[in-house]
Amino acid sequence: MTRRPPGRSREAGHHQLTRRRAALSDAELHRLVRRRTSVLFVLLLAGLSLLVGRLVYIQGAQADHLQRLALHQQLGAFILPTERGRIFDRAGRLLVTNVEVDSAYAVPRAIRDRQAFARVVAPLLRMDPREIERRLEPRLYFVWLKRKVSPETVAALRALPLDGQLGFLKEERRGYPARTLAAHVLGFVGIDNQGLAGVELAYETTLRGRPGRAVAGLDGVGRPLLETRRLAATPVDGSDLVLTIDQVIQHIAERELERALAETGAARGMVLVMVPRTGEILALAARPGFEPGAFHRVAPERWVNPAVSAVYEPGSTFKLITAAAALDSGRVDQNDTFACPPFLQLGKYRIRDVHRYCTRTQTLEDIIRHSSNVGAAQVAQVVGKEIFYDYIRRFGFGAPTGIDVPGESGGIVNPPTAWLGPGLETIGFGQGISTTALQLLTAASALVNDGMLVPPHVVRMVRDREGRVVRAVSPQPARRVVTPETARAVLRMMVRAVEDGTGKMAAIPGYTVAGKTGTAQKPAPEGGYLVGRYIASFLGFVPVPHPRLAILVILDEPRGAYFGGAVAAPVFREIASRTLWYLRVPPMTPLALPPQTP
Amino acid sequence: MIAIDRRTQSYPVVMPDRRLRDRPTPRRRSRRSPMAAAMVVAALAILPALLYVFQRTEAAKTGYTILHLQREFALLQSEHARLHATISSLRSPQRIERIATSELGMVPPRQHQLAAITMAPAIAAALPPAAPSLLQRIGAWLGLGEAQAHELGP
Repeated sequence: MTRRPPGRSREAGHHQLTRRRAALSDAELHRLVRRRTSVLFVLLLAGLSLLVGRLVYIQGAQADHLQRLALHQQLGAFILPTERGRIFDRAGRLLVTNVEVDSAYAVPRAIRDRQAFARVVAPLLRMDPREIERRLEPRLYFVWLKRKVSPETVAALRALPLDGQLGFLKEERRGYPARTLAAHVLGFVGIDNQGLAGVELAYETTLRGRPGRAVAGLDGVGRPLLETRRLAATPVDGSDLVLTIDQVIQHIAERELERALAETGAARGMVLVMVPRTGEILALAARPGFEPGAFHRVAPERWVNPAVSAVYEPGSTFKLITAAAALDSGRVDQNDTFACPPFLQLGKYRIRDVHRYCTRTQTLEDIIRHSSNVGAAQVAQVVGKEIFYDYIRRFGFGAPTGIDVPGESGGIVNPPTAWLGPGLETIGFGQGISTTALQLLTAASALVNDGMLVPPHVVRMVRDREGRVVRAVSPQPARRVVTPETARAVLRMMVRAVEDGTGKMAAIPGYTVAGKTGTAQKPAPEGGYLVGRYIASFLGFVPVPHPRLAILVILDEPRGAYFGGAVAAPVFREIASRTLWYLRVPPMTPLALPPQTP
Repeated sequence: MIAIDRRTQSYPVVMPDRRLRDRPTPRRRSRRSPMAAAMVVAALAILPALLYVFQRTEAAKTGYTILHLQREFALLQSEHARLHATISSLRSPQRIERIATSELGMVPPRQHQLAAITMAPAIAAALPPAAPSLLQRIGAWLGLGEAQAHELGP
């Protein structure tokens, strides 16, 4: 507001203007008006030009950018989540499912006192307050505090007066209702539900599905307007897996294994139960185990599936392969006899039996029945390096079986040129060669399949969410490794080993059992073998002649009694008998009458 | 020369009146007011727009309802999955065995407690499959078939 000079009234100014106008001629007045009009026109034109220029700038140069901003404001792109496939056992019992849980996040921009916030929240989330404080960068609008927290923690956090500073988002978490059961087979997933081990990893693409994508207009508060939604990609839920594992047999195997570990003091152990004719794994138990839902709480070594990844020297159970190679190659006949010396001297090495049972001669059946190292070494000598190596490879040693579980090892089988010293003889009784438990059971199962080797597998079928079979996993084609006659002959020897040999403690009343014990020294890292450390094992089939079950029990470093026949065979018996009852396999011979009570 | 003008004489004649239809009709004053006409035109012009807005509003309303129902469905599905997991954990063999042995004092059957009942093959083959009971049918209808699953073997 302009201030009028003091002492000068409005009337005085008006009179001055009138006087000035009167002093101008018409021509001058006309020029003055024209000049002023021109100035006004130029100003208007300039203003208009600026506006037009601005319009061109906005509609031209800035068009793409502004259009993007507008679209960003009005449209939203959405990921349509899918559910990860569930996992069932062979009878349709749920082993792995999805459970919705809350994940906690913070809005750092809304937090005034980060230190106080961290101090309040950290104990509830069981986190270090400094770690929370470090995450709360003031310029951020969103930061995860902890994902997939328990409902109790969520309730405690919700009770805090932290509106706008703390929030929760729903996420899916894998749920394992049977907790530790079959953990090594099932595996586990990471924080984003990506498979990291076991079947979860091997069938990641099948289980994961394909998330959808959609674009939709947003309303004033950011909600999608469904009528404007356009699907860019349809979401496809992950398929369900049906395993060959049977929950009950798995439980029996784990229970008996745990009991055996407690009784023998063994550090580790594993049990494999398989259907020999189809290669279906009914149970795969390993101890120490872990809980798939809390895998990070144990050392990573425990995550390893020892049945497919760990290699060990099989010991006497490998004599079955030696016997099969000897018979099938025609180098040894069932009636051939071998010397029965107290020991076998091979250069500076001496091979001896743990229990000397004969003094004169022994047949191949005797060697298997009494698990003679001296006899097996002689048989290996007769077979010869090249032929023996050929049979070892035919039985699948030295290469993965191809089971649909990740991390499988092929074992260690050196070529014959590397069999130095008594290498041939020691491999004859299962030392100097390394296999996985699965390889050994698969190879031995060929003996009950008339010499056909059937690769193992753990997934039976893939189903969609409605339960329709999408893909049935058929067993891989079997291949012949020995003749049916050879297979039956070795099987008979195994039956004799249980009836009247080292495997007596594996006998089950009413059923014919074929089996072989194993007691192997543990190799030392620097060479040679560890003193007093053994791996006790038992491999058996039941009921012969048409076995429904092939079972391998391995106990690592049992204390006290350490022979396979003493510590592993009883575990086989318990697992086999319980499983046969569960499967309603009737006994083949009449059971003994119950004892009379007085 | 004297020319004689032909004399003409005219007589007034009464001509018949023009037929009614030949007469131009007097412009009658319209009884419709222009405002009403404008209103009608405006209504005709606006009606489709109103219908369009109504339809969009209804679609948005339905969209919100669907969104709400979708959230509710997701919640129920989540609850269903959680209950299913709970059922599975309650049915787990470890739990049942623990309760049976520690709380109910049960023990696993011993060898002499088992009996194998022999059936002649001919008789067994002739037997018709057992028809499901009413309870089993209801259970199957409710999706409780899993309870029977443990009887299946390899």
